Formats: sequence, structure tokens, C-alpha cells
Amino acid sequence: MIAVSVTRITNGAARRRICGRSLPYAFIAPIGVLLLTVSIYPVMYAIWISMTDASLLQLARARFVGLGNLLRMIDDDVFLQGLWRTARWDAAVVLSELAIALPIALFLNLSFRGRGFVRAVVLLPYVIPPAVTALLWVYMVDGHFGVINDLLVRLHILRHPVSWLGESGGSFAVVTVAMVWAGQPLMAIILLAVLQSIPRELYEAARVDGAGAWHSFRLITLPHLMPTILFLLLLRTIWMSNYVDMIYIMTQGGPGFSNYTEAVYSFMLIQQFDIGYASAVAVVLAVILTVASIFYIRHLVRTVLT
Amino acid sequence: MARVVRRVWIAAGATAIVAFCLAPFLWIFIASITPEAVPDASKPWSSERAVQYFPAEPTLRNYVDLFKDVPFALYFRNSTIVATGTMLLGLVLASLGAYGFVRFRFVGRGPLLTAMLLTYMIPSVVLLVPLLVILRRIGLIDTFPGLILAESTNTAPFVLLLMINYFSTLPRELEEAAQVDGCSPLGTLVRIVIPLALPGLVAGGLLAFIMTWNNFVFAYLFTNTDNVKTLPVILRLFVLGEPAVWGVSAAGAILTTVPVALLFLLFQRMLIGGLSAGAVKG
Amino acid sequence: MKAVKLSRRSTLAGLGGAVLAGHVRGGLAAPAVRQKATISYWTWADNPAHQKMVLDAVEAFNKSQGFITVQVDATMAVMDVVRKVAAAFAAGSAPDVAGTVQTNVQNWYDTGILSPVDSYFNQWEAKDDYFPSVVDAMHSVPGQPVLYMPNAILPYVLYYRADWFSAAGLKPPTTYGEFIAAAKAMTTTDRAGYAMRGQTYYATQVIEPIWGSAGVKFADVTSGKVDFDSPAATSVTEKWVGMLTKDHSAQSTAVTDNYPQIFALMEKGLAAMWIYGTHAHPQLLAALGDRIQVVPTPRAGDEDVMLANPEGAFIVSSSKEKDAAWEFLQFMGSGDADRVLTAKRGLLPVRKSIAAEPAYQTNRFFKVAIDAQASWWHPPFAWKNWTNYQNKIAPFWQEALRGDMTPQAWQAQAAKFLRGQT
Repeated sequence: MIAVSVTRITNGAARRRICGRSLPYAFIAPIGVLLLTVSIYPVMYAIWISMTDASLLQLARARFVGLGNLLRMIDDDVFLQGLWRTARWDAAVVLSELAIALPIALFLNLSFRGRGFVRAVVLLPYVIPPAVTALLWVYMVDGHFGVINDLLVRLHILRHPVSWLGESGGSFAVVTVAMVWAGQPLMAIILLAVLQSIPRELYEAARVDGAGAWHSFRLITLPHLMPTILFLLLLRTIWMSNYVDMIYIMTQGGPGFSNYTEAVYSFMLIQQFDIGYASAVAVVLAVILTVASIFYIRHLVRTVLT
Repeated sequence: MARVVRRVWIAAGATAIVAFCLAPFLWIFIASITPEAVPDASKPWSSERAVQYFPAEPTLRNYVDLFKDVPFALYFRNSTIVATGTMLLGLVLASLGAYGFVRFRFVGRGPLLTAMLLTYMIPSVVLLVPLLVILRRIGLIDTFPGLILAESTNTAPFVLLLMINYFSTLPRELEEAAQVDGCSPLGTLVRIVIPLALPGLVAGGLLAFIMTWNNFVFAYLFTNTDNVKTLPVILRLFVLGEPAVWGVSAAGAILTTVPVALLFLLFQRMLIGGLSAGAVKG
Repeated sequence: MKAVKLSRRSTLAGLGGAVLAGHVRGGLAAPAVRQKATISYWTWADNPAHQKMVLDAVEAFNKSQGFITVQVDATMAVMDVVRKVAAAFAAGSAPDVAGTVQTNVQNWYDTGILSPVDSYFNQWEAKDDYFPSVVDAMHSVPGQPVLYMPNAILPYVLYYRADWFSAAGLKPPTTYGEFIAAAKAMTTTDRAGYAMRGQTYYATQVIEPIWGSAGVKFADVTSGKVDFDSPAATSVTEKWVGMLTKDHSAQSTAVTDNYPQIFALMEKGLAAMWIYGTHAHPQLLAALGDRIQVVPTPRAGDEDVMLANPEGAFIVSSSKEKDAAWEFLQFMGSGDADRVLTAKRGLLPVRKSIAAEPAYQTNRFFKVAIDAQASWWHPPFAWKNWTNYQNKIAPFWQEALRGDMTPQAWQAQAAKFLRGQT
């Protein structure tokens, strides 16, 4: 599998010296150019808009208000409570996903018959279009005809069907379960890929030394997985903080405001054409996320780049 | 004896996982073969009040109806093109970029990576208007390249980070051996690192494919004609339409999901990696 | 002849062609070469069947003449169309024609995105065929030009289970008081008297005609006075919310119930009454046959008020093919195209001649609405803060239905939104 060209001995060194300095930039350039045009510019634009009172219907007439949107946010109950709702949503989803994905990945790392099939099945929840998953769970928890209510009543756990989505706690639970169900394959697959790259000899050596399964896990598997786990936690937290789709389809942010995370609030504001304030909320959310994770980001950058 | 115990545990675990992942999906499948409630004005109520666990008369009619009013096959083709294009673009750019970040020391390495991570923090919902402006300026609205470019804003940074994380876990010895033997950096990347990193690439590529396959907002905002629109757009019309046709929507969901799952079944063998002892020790 | 042609061409730079100009001016057409034009049309689709109707109508137009080709995008919901058109206009890539509901017409005009069709419409022979209330809606505010071309109107009626009413010896309600009492009377352990909607602004939309009939003006466009927190308005809301919280004559899941849930309730015989648009009748009719009947919505005062919202399309101001766009709008508002977009969808046409056809006159759901034509009304969409209220009120309505907010408090909040406060 390893092909090495022997005849390039004499040329290689010379070429390396000449191209050495500019070479890394050649590797970075393609993705750098892509991100510069389609990521950086829109982000700059979003920051600019967040300091105006722009309406989506009349972008040309946007007036600069500087920090005016910030002042509005300080007074805004929905925004302030949105911070807590976002944190609550992030923690519930990300930690639950990890709690489910890690055992699944460990399990799929074992070799057994039918492993390929189980792997494909594990990916299914992630592949289903989110709109369908959202509606599926809405139907499953329906207060009159839902299958979950039906089962719970038949098992005598409930006496009457419950309108899950009609209660603020209930709707949060339902949306979280739906999201975890649909999102855990992502973590599972990534963790599995990393698990697969741990050299077998390490486990062999540990077994020879008399270590049990738990010791192997703690001393070999976990250290190898830790960077990836932390990386996944960060990535998933960022995604969930910015996530709108299923929350919106299942609850439209309700009942009342109980599911208004900051991202959902920003989305609703755009529905109301208030794009200036919506961008401001989004920018503040991004800043908070950055500040909260800056230490971890620096740590991540340092560890992977050494 | 230990072998049997292991087998039982494995079977139990596999069953639990399969049940957890498959149960709601089965519900969708059952919905897709349930005939749309045929209203019958002579009955006190026209459709079943109780929850039906399996339809009395399962049918494939919903699948046929899916193609009746809308060019579902065309949307399927479009989704395939866009998702494949985004995946390939993301994999190529991200592999190059990740290798550059991980294996070279150069000026601005840390800050550049940090900057890329930071731009990922803003919710994409506020980036829609500027993205629209950009795409219009380069004349790529309602084209495949345009949509692939837009989708890449979501997927490329993610695959880049994934590859960076993954490449950094690979031991350097093999690459260093190759370089001593005179292999150029690009050659090292292509001939040594990529084959070793196959599990990570398969994971990243597949996830990028799925993210694009299911993305709704970009697909609907940046396309105007049926020639480029992808499945999520038409599926939403079914799912959220008034009146809703849940059976046909479920059929659409099945047809949208199963091909990707089959794709994964095909490629999941490449998720198996691991170094052979001989290569490292030389 | 040539001189006339040239001057017309030069004055109508970049539009249609000389023959098109001749058509508008009343037939002084010279046999000139018509230029081909391609225009784009973005509109919404409520469901795949609706989408097919739009596509079929557009294709019929394209086939009926060989000069204008319309490219249509009809894969989104109403709100998505509004967002997409607004974003595209800001980016400079707006379509030529955009579908709209009455609610947004004034917005489009105020922001300069809409180009009025006054000059075209006033030259058109069919202009007297439109219902007077629809023509008013086309101006949006008296004194403004004709802004857009509606091709359908959606009236709201009261559906009720005639078999249950006659079994109980009751007649369908005509006043609001009778309506509340009927809801109570119809409620049993097995079913709710009224299928109430929660979740979105549209839950409150069906109450608008009742407020209107109680004399509530919501907001006066000219004087700027908001009366939505008046005692009359609050009393209507109290009784309505009371159906759920006090009388228990509405279904318990009202807070989050939307169209699919409500329809399932009606279809499975779990609710006796429902106020909604005529576009629900094809499905209800198929499900319940003669057991489902309609009457106009109940009145809270002396006046009969029927909520009826027109919808149609407008010409976007950035369009370079406005003549071609008008020809397309004309087509969509006439003949078979209009019949397809109305009868099968359950909406009424806006033209008297078409509404007089048997397809509408013999349909009891349509007939009830047509007969009440003199009372067609819609809330003051043109009020500058109307969309502020419509876009923001949903969460508060849910809180009111849950009892977390009193009807008075809700009323006060709604009035605040109408006054432009956040």
C-alpha cells in the first residue's frame, strides 16, 4: 500500500529547498479563497447590517444606529431569556448525543457479523430530511392521535393523552429527543472513524500486560478519543446554538416563547423583516460563543497544530 | 462459554441500537404504505380514530402519487449532482488545506485557523442576503456551480476541521519515511496520507453529502427553476402543505433517505482503518 | 404609419413591442414584429396540487401566444415568497411578477418594490367586471392607484355539523352569543363544540370578522387612531378564549393545533364547528358529505361582516418587461386560468361574470359567500403597523390560550403592536 519512489532522491531535496517556503500557502490557498469569498464577506456584511435598523423590504434605506440595537437587546426580555434557553438547549442536546453516540461507536468498533448493516442503520436518523423528522415527531406525540400517547395509555403509565407540545417543558423535551435521535449518528460516525485508527498493537500489548477492558478503555481509548470528543463538543455546541430548523417546524418557538433560542429569535426577526436587529442578535450570539470557547479554541488549535 | 456470552451481549446490543434508530423510521415507512384516508360520507367518522399500527390495506399508491404532480425524478437528479459536487469540492479543498495546516509551520498558521473557526460561529440565517448578492454578482444564481458554492460555505469548514483533527492523529513516521525517500509533499499527501486517512475522508465526505442533500434554505433561496431545485424544496411542499398529505410525504421521505443509506452501506467498509504493524516498524 | 410606429417604439423603450403598445391603446395595431420576452413569476403553492394548477395555468399562457415565455417558481409557502422576493430585490435579482396576498400589498408599494398597474387596468374592458369591494382592495388605500391584480378571493365561513345540530334541535348560530352557546351545547365527552386554532397569527384571523362586526376598527389609516383595546374588542376576545379556558367547549390541544390537527378533528367527528376559509371545503365535503354545512360567520353587533382576503400578483418595479408582465396578469385573471385557480382550490373568483357561473352558484359553500358579497371586508392591512402586529402576536396568543395571560392583557399587547411599539 505504501508506494515510495526511489528515483527521486536527487531531485527531491533541491525542490524542497526552492518551494519550501511558499508550499504551505499553496495547500491552504484553495480553501482560503473559497472561505474568503463566501464566508468572510457575508460575515462582514452581517456585522455591518447589525449596526443599522435595516428592514429586509428596504435595505437601501437602512440607517446606521451604531450600538442602538445593543441597547434594545438589554431591554429585551425575549433576548435575555433566550440566552438561558440557548444554553439549556445546547447542553441537553450535545451531552445527550455524546452519551448515546460514544457507546454506539465503541460497539460498532467491535467485529461481529452484520456490522455493516448495523452501521448503515445507525446513520439513518441523520439522513432523513429534517422537515420529515420534525413532522414525524409532531405526529407521534399528537395529543389526540399520537402513537406515543397511545402506547403510554395502554401501558397505564398515563391515564389521558397528554398534549406534549402544548406544555413548555414537554415541548422542550420532545424537540430535544427528536434532535438527539436525528443528530447522534454524526458523532457516532466520527468517533468510529477515530476509533478505527487506534493501532491494534496497543490493545494487544495492554492485554499481554494483564489490563482489563475498563483499563484499556481508560488508558488507551479515551486519550486517543479525547481531542476528537472535545472537538465534537465544540462543533456541536456551535451548531446547536445556531440551529433553527426542527425547533421552528415543531413548535414555531412556542408555546409562548418557551422555545425561543437566540437563533430561533433571530430567524423570527427576519420573518418580521427586522434584519438589522436580527443580525445584531446573531452577532451577539456569535461573540458570546466565541468568548465562551476561546480558551478551548486556542487549546484545540495548539494541539492539532503540533 | 465466554464466546457464547459475548455473542449474546453483541446480539442484545445490536438489537437495541437497531431498534432505537429504526423505530421512528419504521413509522414513516408504515405511513408511506398507508392509503390516504379515503373519506366515506356514510360512516360516522371517515377515518380511523384509533392509532393504526399497521394499515388494513397497505398500498404503494403513495409512491406513485409522488411522481404524479411533481417531477420528483428531476429533483432527485439535481440533489445528486449538487450533493456529489459539494462533497468532492469539500474533500479536495479540505484535504489540501488540512494537510497544509497540520504538517507545515508557516506564518499566521494559528490565527488563520482561528479565523476560519470564528466565521463558522454566526448563524447562517443572517448570511443569506449577502450570499445572494455575491452569487448574483458572479452570475451563478440558479446554477449548479452556484448552489455547490453556497452549500460549501456550510460543509467545507466542517470537513476542514474534521480533516485537521483527523490528520493530526496520524503518526508521522510513514510520511517522514516517504520524504526521506524523496517524495514531494503533494506526493506524500496523495500516496501515503490519503490512503491512511480513508476512514476520516469517508466520514467527512459522507457527512458533507448528507448535509447538502438535506439542506433546504440555500436550495430554495438560490434556485428559481426546476432544473436546479433539489429534493428538500419539493419535500417541504408535501410535508408542510395545506392540506397535508402525510402518506405521500412519507413516501417522499423514504425515497429521499434510502438511496443515501444504501450509498453508505456501500462505502462503510472504508471506515475501517488502522495501521499494519509492519509499516511503522519498517 | 412608420412615423407613428417609431415614435411609439421610442417612447416605450425596452418594452414589449409595437403591437403590444397598439393593443393597450385600443387596437391601433400596426403589423410590426413583436419582440420575444421572457419573464419570471414567483408565487406560492399551498400544496403539490396547487402547484400543479399554477404550472398548468402558466403553461397554458405560454402556449396561447408565442412571444412571451413565463418561467415560474411556485415551490414555496407564502411567507417564503415574501422573504425571497424581498431578498432578491435587495440583491438586484427580483422576478418580473410576484404573487402576493392582500396583507402585503401596501408594504410592497410603500417600499417601492411594487409597480402599480393603474394605466394598464383603466384601459382594460374587464375592469367593470370586478366586485366593488375587490376594486377597493386593489387600491389598498383610497386615493392610491390600482396596485395589483387579484385573481381570487378567500372568504371565511362557519362550518358546522348539520346532523348534530338538527339532532339537538338547534339552528346554526347567527349572532356571537348564539355561537358561544352553541359551542357549549355541542360539547360532549366525545367531542368539542368548536375546533379552536392556536399556534400562529392565523388562529386570530378568524376572529377578525367578529371584532369587525362589533364595531372595532383596529386602526384608522387616516387618523392613526388604534381602538383594538376597546371594551368591545376585549369582550369578544374574552368570550372566545373563554370557550377554551372556562366553557371547555374547545378541544384541549388548541394551543398548538394547526390546520392538519384541526382538520383531523373535523374529519374524525371530534368537533362540531370550525371557522375557516372556503378552501377547506373540498376536503371536508369529501369527508363528511351532507353532514357539513356552512353559514356566514356570527356577528357580534348589528352589522354583518364576512372576512374575505383577495390574493393575486403584482409587477415588480425592477422588471424590464412590464408590458409583457401585464399581459400575463390579464391572462391569469381571466377565463380558464382563473377558473383553475379558484374553483378547484376552493376560492372565489373576483370577477362577477365568472362568479355567476354554475360551478360557483351551485356549490353551497361558495353560494353562502357570494350571497354575502356586500359584507366582504378585511382588516386594515394598509395600516402601517399591521404587519408588526401580525408577525409578533403568535406567542402571546398561545400564552392567552394557556391562561398564562389574561384576554385583557393580550388585547393590550395587540394594541401596542398596532401602535407600532415592540
